[in-house]
Amino acid sequence: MGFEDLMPAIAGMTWQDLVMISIGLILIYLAIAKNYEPTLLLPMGFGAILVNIPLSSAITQIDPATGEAVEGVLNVFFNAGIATEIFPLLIFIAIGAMIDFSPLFRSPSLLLFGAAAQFGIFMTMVLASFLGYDLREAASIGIIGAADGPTSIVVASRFAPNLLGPISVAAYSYMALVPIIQPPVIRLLTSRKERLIRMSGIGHANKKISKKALILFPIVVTIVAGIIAPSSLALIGFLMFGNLIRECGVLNKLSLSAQNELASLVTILLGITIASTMTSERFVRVDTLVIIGLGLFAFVFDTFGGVIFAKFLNLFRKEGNKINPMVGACGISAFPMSARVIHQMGQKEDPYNYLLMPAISANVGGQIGSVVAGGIILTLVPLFA
Amino acid sequence: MAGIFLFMAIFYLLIIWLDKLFPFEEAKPVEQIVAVSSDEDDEEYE
Repeated sequence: MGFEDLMPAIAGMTWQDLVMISIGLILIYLAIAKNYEPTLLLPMGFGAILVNIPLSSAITQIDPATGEAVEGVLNVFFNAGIATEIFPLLIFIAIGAMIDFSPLFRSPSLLLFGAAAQFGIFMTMVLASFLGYDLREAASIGIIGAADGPTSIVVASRFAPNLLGPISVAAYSYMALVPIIQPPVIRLLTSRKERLIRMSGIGHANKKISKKALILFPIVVTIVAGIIAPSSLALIGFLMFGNLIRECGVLNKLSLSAQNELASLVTILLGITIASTMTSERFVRVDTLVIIGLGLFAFVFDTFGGVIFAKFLNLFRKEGNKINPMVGACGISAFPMSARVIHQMGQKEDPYNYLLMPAISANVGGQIGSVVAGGIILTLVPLFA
Repeated sequence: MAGIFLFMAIFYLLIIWLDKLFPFEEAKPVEQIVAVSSDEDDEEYE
C-alpha cells in the first residue's frame, strides 16, 4: 500500500487546490475580521475549503471501485436550490419583507436614479463582449453591477452556470466594498460646490404615507411588470410578495419570520452551496481575474451613471431645487450601505447637510432598479443570443 | 437602459397616482369618537 492509497487527499492535492483553500481562508478572514458581508463570504469561504480538498465527499466524486458518480451534498443543494433558482427567490421574499417603500413615496422622483445607476451593468456587458465573451456570459458578468446578490445568482445560473462561482464572489465582495469604491469615483466626478448642495426642498421628510397605498404598490407593480416583461415576474413578483406580507398588517408573524428565520436559513444554504462551483478547475483561471476586474468596472460605472444623471437633471432645475449629485450614486442596490456612505460624505463636506433621507429614497429605488434590470436581461438576452 | 428607465417612469407615475388616490388619513382620536357617539345618544332621547 503506497502513500497515495494511505493519504489520497494529500497525494492528489494540486497547487490550484491550495490556491482555492487560501482564497477560502481569505474570505473567512474578510468576513470575520473586517466584517465584509459575513453572511455570504463566510459560508462561501468555508465551502471553498470543503470542495477543494481532493476526493471531498461534499461534492460529487467518481467511485474508483464501481466507476459510478457518488453525489455530494453540495451538488444536491445546488441542483435543488440554485439550478432551480429557489434559494435566491426565497431570499427575495425576505428582502421584500425588509424593504420600506415609504421613502420612495416621499421623493418619487429619486426612483429614476434606481435606473441611472444600473448603467454599469450594460457598459460591462459591452466590454465583456469585446473581450470575447458571448452575450449570455457577458450578461452574467454585467449583472454584477446590479449590486444585488440574488439577481446576480439567478441570471448567472441561467445563462452561465460555469461562471457562477467568480460572479458570486465578485458580486458579494464588491457590495461589501461600496464604502471604498464609491467615494473616489464621486469625488472625481463632482466639484466641492456640487457636493455641498442641500436637498431640503426635495421630498417631504415628515410626510406620512397611507397604508392602502403601501399595500397596493407591490400588487400593482407585480401586475404591471408581469404584463410588460413576464420573464421578470419571478424576480419582481417574489420581491413584491415579501413586501406585501410586510405591509398588509395581518401577517406580522410571517413578515418577521421572512425577515429573520427565512433570510438566515436560506442564506446559510445559499452561501455554502455557491461554493460548490468554486472548485479549482473552475476558479483558478484567467477568466476569474477578468471577471473580478469587470465586476469592479461595473460598480464604478454604476456610480458614474447615477452621478452624471443627477448632474444632467440639474441643468434643468433652478437654484435651491438642485439635486446633490452624490445622491445619484445611491441608485445602486447596496442598501443601506450606499445611502450611509453618501450621507457621511455629505457630512464631511458640511456637517449641517443631511442627505440621509434623499439618499435612502434613491437607494430603495435602486433595489427596484436592480431587479428590473435583471428581469429585462432575462427577457431580452435569449432573443439575441 | 431605456427599458429600465421606462419601467421606473411607469412606477414613478404609479406612486404619484397611489399617493393621490389614497392620501394619508389621521385616525380619529378616541375622545372624538366617544363625544360623537354620546351626542347621537342624546339626540335619540330628545
